[in-house]
Amino acid sequence: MIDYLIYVIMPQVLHGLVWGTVIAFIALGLTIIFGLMDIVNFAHGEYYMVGAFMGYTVLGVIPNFWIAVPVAVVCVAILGLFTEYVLFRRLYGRDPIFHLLLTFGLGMMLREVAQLIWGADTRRVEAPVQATVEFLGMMYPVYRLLILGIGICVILLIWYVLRYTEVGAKIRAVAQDRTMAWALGIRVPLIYTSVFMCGVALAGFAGVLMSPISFVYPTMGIDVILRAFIVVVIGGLGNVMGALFASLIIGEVEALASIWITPTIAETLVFIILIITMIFRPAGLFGKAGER
Amino acid sequence: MAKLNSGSNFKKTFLVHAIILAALAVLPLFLNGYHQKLAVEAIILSVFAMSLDLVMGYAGIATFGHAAFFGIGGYAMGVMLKFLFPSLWLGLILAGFCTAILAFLIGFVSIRAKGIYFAILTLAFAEVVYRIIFHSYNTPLGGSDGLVGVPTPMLHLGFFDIDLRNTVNFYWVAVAFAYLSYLVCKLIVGSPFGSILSGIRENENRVPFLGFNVKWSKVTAFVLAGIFAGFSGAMFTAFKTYADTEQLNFLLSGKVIVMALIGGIGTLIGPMVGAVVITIFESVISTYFRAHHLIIGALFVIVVIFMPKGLLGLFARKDRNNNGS
Amino acid sequence: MKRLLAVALIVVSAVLFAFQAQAANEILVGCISDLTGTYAALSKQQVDAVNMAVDELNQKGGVLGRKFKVIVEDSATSVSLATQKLERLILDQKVDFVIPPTTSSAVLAMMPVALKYNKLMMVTLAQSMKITGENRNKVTFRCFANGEITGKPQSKWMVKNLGKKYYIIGADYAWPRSTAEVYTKFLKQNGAEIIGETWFPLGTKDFAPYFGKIRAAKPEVLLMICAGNDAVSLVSQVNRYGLGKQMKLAADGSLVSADIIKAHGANADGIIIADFYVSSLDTPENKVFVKNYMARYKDAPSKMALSSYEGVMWVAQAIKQAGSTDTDKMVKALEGSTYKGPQGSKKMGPDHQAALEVYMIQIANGGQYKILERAN
Repeated sequence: MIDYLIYVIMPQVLHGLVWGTVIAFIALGLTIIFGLMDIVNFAHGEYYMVGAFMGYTVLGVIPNFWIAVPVAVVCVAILGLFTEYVLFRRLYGRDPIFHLLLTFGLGMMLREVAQLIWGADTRRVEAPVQATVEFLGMMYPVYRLLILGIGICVILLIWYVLRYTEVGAKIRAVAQDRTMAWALGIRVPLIYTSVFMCGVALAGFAGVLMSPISFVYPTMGIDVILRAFIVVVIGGLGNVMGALFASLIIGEVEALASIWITPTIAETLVFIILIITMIFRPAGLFGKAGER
Repeated sequence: MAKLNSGSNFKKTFLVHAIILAALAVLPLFLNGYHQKLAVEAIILSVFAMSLDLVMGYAGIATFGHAAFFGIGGYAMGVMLKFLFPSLWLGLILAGFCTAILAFLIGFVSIRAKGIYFAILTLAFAEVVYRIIFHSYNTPLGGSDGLVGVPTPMLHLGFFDIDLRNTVNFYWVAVAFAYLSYLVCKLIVGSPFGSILSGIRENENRVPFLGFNVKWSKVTAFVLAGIFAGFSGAMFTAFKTYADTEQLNFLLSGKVIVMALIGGIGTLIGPMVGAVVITIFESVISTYFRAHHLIIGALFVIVVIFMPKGLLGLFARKDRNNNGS
Repeated sequence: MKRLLAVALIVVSAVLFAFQAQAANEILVGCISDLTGTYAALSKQQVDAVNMAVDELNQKGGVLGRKFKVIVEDSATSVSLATQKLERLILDQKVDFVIPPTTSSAVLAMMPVALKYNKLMMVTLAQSMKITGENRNKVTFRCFANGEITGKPQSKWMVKNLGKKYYIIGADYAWPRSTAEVYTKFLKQNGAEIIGETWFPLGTKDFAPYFGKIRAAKPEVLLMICAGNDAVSLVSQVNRYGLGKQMKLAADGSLVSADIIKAHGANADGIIIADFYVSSLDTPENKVFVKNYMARYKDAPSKMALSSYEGVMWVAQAIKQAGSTDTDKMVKALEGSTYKGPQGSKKMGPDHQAALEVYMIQIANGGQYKILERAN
């Protein structure tokens, strides 16, 4: 019994934790962007993809992963700045459905451009740390533990910024009531632009970090976007803590469920969890009823 | 919104309809075989986009899972034609029946969620449906290989039969199907029920005071939209001779929203135009340009930024009630 | 301005819509390929190889005094687009035969259309068992391997050389499932047993959760059945978690096909597959083919490129034999015909499936295919 717990359950809990962190990375940007500007960003997965490709490209020139990461993140942030300034800015205040159309089209364009630039082949990125550790009777790659660690640090940092800094207070003020925030002298467009940049940069960050595990190809964004959406909705759109919590739940459920049921059903289970959550909490676990 | 039969406008409306129908009826005589095929496909898809308008344009409810109904309608038709009885009518009835039940279940369960939450919830339901069919590989549905080899039926009209294997015949049937669907939807949105839906869109909280049940009105609109999407999917399968999981995929749900928005929602005819434009545009552009998704994506972006009321919005007269929400 | 834009858009669509291509006295080859989407990389090789085959044919003066011309259409990994394009090629462009795309579901949906218009299709990439054999139709042939062609000899060889206890892991959709059924059948015939199966959803990123179960089952051989990006992720994680140290690794050839072998790097080393072609095949015909292909495209041909090349050549041979591009005559000429190409000599069976020679291959030295022996 204890053996079962240690050698079967525990490793799965760890897998779930790592996987949950990765989902949280992508979902965080999505939920912050929605919470602030009501944008349902269907192209979020494409920023993740661009991040991975940028990392891959930099690695081709400078073979150091820890240089590639910040460069890729900055590139994605610049792309975010550009798209926000040229496209999204024109749609603020309109129905979120228009953002959906915009991001749907943008996603198509980014995928196609990526294929034109880098080709359709799957590209391999070597993990910066190749070592494995003996852990609970199995070999566990150190790089995954590293992702877990980096993930926790970044999440704590975001939480700290939003909660305890002046910038965070401004962002929260704009999210709550943009007219009032504007009246109080907060430069709302600046906040919008910078938050959008940071949100997609997070996705880009996740893209580079994940590239040694999932590799790099133009349609990699589609593979993650649905999962991220589910997490964001379960947690309550715009709710950072909710998204984190939901990421962990989804990660753990998928990992643990695959001990007893087939992975395909485990994946469908994710959608069923979403449906059940929505039935009992129509605005997500941490959302307030009546909130959009 | 001018009703179909309201007094002085009647003659003019009748004339416009007659001209459009006549033009559509003779169109295939000027097209070659492939363009006829493409035209049929575009017309069938136009009903799919129009059905979305019932919920999105009139009731103001965004749904991301509309492909579920299109796909289930298609599979229902496929099962009827291939395994049960080769009749287009029975296929349509089965498709309508299945999609009505599915839409009722989804609508009834989801309707408490608002706005984007409702949209994501419908997406989740649609994904579950998609996955069930996708993984049913050892059933007659064929799983990810799709249900192929669906025979094209004869259309029995009582006194004579139409051979639908002839593309031009199918074209005329598709035009009749689209026109009838349009008329029925027009009647629905012109009826008191349609006014309730518009009321819900404008201000949901006010409707109960007028003595109407918001929840049931929304569910009814959702079910009606589902049924028409199912009909459209059924016609698609009957025409293309297969039903594939691609018809259930969330990318199609996204695409149909795009079709509706490009045409201009809240007009019924707008989404139909949008569907025709996108279908033809995609097929043609992908022949001449390798990176056609880039062009189509750019088209979406241009439309949403410069033409928020869709293509139709550009030609709308000022006195027309602009319903782009 | 906006109104003008919209009008321009509609006019351009209408003009393109009415655009008609000119037919000449050429033999038109319709090539429908998934040039965008998941299979873009191997679809590019398909188009490249078809172009190369046609150019070679034309250099020799074509067939029946007629030159060949390729019309390429992108089906974008979409079933509905693939059937649309087929209709365009048949009805609008009046092609003489068609090379269909990678996606099995698309090919299956295209088959009835091709039959309706009586147009020959030579399948060069799609693997579904349903395309040939019992469900074949009159006009569809395949010169690519299906699961049975490779699975039968591979099973026999594996039981003899690797072990008797098998665990299958694969992507959960029709092709891997039906391939697994073939393996299961032939492994059992040879006296082995399947002690477990895991089916993961397409697009899975994290395979680690399934490895505990596989380890616990203690199989002698892990048999992997998936393709594309799933395969790259699976192989890298199998390697990272050291599964290869506890059991032998075998796979269906698609797991390490040439479009992804570079992405695998050294991760795939040691995996054993059965396949009908690798570019290092030591025959004079193949050396010429590889040399020409390398000269044109700066890359070694994959089995997809080979198959697409041979598909065109085989049909060209049938046209020559039939003395016409009439579909019925071409079908008659193809049925039971023998073709000798870079891969070797092969016969088109009555089930419309080419009988191919199969080799046991091990991946070694950082992603090189090493031929162990002939398997059938």
